[in-house]
Amino acid sequence: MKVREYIKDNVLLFDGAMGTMLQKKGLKLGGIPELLNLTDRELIKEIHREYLHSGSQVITTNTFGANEHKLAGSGASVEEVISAAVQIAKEAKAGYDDAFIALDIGPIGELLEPLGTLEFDDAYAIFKRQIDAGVKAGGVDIILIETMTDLYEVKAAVLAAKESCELPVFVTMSFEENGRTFTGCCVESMVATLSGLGVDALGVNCSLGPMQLKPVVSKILKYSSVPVMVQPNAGLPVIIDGKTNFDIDKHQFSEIVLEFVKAGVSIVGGCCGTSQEYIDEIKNGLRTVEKGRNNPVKTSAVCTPSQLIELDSVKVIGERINPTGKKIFKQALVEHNMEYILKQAVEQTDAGADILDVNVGLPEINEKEMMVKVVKEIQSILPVPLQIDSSNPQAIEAGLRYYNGKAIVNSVNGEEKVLKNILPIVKKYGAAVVGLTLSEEGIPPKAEQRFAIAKKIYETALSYGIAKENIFIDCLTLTVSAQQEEVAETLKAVRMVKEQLGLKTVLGVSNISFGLPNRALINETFLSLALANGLDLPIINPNAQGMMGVISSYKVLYNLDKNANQYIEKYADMQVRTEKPSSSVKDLKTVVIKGLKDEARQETIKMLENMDEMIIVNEYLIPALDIVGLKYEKGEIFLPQLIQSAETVKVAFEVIKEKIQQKGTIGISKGKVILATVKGDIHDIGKNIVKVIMENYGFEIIDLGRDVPAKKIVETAQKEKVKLIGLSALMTTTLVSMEETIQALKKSGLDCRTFVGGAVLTEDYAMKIGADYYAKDAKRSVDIANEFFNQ
Amino acid sequence: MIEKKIDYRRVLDFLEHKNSKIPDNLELLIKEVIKEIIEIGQVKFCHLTVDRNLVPDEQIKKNILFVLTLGAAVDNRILYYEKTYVTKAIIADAAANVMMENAIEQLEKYLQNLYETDTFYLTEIMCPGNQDIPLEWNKRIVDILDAQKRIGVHITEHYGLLPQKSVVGFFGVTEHQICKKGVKCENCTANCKFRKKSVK
Repeated sequence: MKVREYIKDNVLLFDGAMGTMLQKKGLKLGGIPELLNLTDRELIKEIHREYLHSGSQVITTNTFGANEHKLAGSGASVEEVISAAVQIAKEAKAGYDDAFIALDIGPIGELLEPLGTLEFDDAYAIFKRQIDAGVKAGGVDIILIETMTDLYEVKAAVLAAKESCELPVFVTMSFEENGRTFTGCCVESMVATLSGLGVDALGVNCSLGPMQLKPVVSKILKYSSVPVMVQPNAGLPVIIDGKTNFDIDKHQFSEIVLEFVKAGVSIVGGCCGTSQEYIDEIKNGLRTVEKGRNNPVKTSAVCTPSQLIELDSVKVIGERINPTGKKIFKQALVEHNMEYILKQAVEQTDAGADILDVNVGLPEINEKEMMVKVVKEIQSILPVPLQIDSSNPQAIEAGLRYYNGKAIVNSVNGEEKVLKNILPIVKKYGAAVVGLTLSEEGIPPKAEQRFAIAKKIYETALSYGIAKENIFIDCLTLTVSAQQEEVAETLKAVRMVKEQLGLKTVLGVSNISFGLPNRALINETFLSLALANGLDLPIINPNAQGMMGVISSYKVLYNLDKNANQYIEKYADMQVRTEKPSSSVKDLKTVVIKGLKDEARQETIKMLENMDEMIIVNEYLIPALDIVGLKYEKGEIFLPQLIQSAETVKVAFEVIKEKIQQKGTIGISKGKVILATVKGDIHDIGKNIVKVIMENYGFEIIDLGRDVPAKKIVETAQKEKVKLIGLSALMTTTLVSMEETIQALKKSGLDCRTFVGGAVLTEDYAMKIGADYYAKDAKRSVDIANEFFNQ
Repeated sequence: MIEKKIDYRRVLDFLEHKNSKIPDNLELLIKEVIKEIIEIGQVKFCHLTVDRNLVPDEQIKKNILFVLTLGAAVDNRILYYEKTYVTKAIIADAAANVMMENAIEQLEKYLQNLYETDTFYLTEIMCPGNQDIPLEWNKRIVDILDAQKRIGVHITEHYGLLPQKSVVGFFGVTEHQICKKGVKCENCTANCKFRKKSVK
């Protein structure tokens, strides 16, 4: 019987540990166990046979760390090691015809972006190489991806497996006692994401003993409709005489593992510290234990690794990341101004958005590339789930591929071609999908007609294997000033979808009030009516307090906010603020010197009513900064105060830039500068301080981030015509990269200069590696830039 | 067993504060960020004794290797603030460094309690990247301790540590106490009961 069939109704028994077994047999700490496939194949074969003899139905190949990263410098290739490992497993399996072979894939050993430096595509390539080698060797029945702690790395491995072969894919992650992995992934997000990606089994292994894993297993069983797999350690590690031992014996281990089976776990085995005896004990126990039936809860949810948003009540989708009708946003997209876009994301989540819509469609840009960039950028700092909003299938696919977690796709509609192009992508990446109730004929006027399209979308999505709980319907908000009679039809359609199809509903609420005065009133009233008719996911501006207030009060009135606890917490301390009359000229300087970031915006707006932007910059902001700089040098203030003032000036500059863009006049940049932390270096807090200070003094900074290859710096300098480049390094081992970057810039023929900084640098060394300037701190960076651009 | 502690005054030291008056709102901000880092930080470590000498010092008989980390959540928070609120980022960075400094002190005491007897003593802490110890040893120690699997510490291509708020190091085990100044008996004039008998 094939594996997928077998695990539907049976318990599949894996083997136990390989690593700790090898250590007991003499493998040195820190050694590469996978090399034993080449140097001591009989030892590996012996361990496999012992497990088979004890009752294991699956043996895992000795390839846990057989990737190019971990094998680097060993003299052996991935293909050699994996091929040998599979061959050994096949030989060991002789006589055990019903046994299966699992190709064991462990973590790469490098952290993926954004915390680490390994890119998603590179991780994918590393896993694909392993899987291709295993499949080529022939005889592998299962791809086992295990001991993972990073959901993004898991996704790369799963996609590599599913795009390379048809073999069943089993995935287990390792959790700490707090119910999260080392990188913060929660159990629910693992289940939601992996189920969506179509793995054949999912669960937990390593890290903890069976007792400590009970709450984790319980949660997985609660939510997973995919067979569940559990391979605990033999308890917790204990150091005795300098050696690691585990504190659970085979009886205790087996007892709890069999409890898991009774609760519904389909696949069991052992991890670190377990041996043939543990497997033998489980095998004996399985003779008398019946596998429980698992009845998972079906929920609509979206997630990132650290946050799952269950759609069990009204959830707000923030609409502000969208260039439609927004000149400044369009400009930010064209300029690749990620800071501005991130700011929109942060403001909306701070205002209470549960999910963010991401729309970056603009004819002037490459939408697919921008979608990936924005998705990655937002996910690098915010745990909020995203809604990929595009009509371009390539942009949708790219957004979903690089998204970490489970997203929503906005949208499909009733057109055959759209359904055919987009639904397979939604299915492949395990997303939820919004269906718009329009078709080739346009938006129908009547609720019944829109309902019919909704039903078609629903049934078609089901036929592609998309679960009901992942299908959301948008009955379309039309502008009341143009189509007044159809507002009631929208509300009626929402109610029909909710009651007759039982699907979640979405609406872009603000469309209702185009062209009318006092838009806020119309928006809020329409939102109230829509909520009362069953709207689940309003797409709104969460910064609009009135709209968020409607949702808060709706939750009280519909008994969703029990005892109005959340409402009281939100509004109990509301005070009416009075405008303080101020003498603007003096206040903006004081505001900057005191670092009063929250007051900068209003003061700057007031000053702009009566004063030119450049006067404000040259006669108030820059002098204020100079005062702050002097105070810092004298020790009258210290670093946080310097940065507070710098951030205050930044807010003022943002207001000034908005004004300039509205006027269409030329910007106030003194010159463009590239800043980057060099390849291999992950530290950039110093570089970020330099960036803030230099921006204060009017320089336009292109921040390339950290771990930046020389090639990228050269290409950016060429493309953006930048003549001054600042490089940062904090580790002695990355100074080489700094020198390489400087050489690459010189070889490129660009007419440019470099300045360098970082804790490990000295002026002598800076000159030695060919830099033009040495910047010991942020202020010196500003002086260098001023000197350079005033030449 | 290692507590999460961050001393406010020590954070000020890391922020290069000398004697200037700190405005009330800034003091509040610093304390708020300290509280945040304590809340989200974890202190995880692993250690192992190896029966050999890693540095050229014949007095050291064994070494106790360790890896300690504050976890990924601290890195994530600093990263968030670097892009949204740089003042908080530098405070958070300083606070995390203080927490790590304190955790290492506690770890040292813990290992002393575990290993020190009447005949064995621990040397000062030694870390790759300092005291002429190659930074490349970060990888070796992380591999030997299997720290990636046990506490989630990774090594970059250039031997940096991830999460960034992590430290790798080791203590030597000697048969007599080496003064913290690093001076050996034959060069020391202190009146010390641990002086080697062969040295005057």
